[in-house]
Amino acid sequence: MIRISGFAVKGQHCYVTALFICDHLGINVPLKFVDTGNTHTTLTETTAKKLGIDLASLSSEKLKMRATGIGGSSDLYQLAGIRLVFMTVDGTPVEEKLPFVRILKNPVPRNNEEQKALEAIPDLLGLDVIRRFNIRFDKHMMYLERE
Amino acid sequence: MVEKSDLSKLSEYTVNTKWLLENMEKLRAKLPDRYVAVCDSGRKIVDASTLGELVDKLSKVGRQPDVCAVEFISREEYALIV
Repeated sequence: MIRISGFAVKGQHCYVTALFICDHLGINVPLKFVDTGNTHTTLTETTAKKLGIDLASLSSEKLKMRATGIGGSSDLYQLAGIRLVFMTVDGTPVEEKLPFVRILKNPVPRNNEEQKALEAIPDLLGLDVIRRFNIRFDKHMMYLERE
Repeated sequence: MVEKSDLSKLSEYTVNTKWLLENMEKLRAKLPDRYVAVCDSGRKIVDASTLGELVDKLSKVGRQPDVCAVEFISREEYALIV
């Protein structure tokens, strides 16, 4: 049984951490993701900048569809060739390949408050990964499991 | 292939991230509207007004930004609808 442990902090979302690896850009860093029902795993532009990903270099990967949600809509990009490496409860790595992840471009903030709110948007673990597992919740824990 | 060092990096990052999320309210009260890095399982906290400044400060105290949990701690709490 493969069992990856996430954690649920009281009053907050469920989080899981993984190494985010993009070989062709030389990126190999741990990130935290919020578990969601979003279709695709998605990074924010804030995270992309931290990782040195230049959205201008992904202009050919700009999607025709835009993202929408509470607060408005925004451009979407995609970054191909991603590996997420999770760690099981017994310390074994579990690698999940993704053909791409989406990157959500930050809209131009209208004021300082909006800028702060943009910083609070997390990276999202989408159904493209979650559907590969059974998800189980315990008191303050969340598990992604499969045989 | 994942190196052992990458797994330790993930492990350390996870502990720091959990500490940050569990102590978010204390951090919000103490360091509102600051970029914060949690290192060494919460024993070392570094803060700055910009992300660039935070990375510089981490380098000066000999910490790798990759394994620290880095977050902007907004003065106001936001409910995330995702």
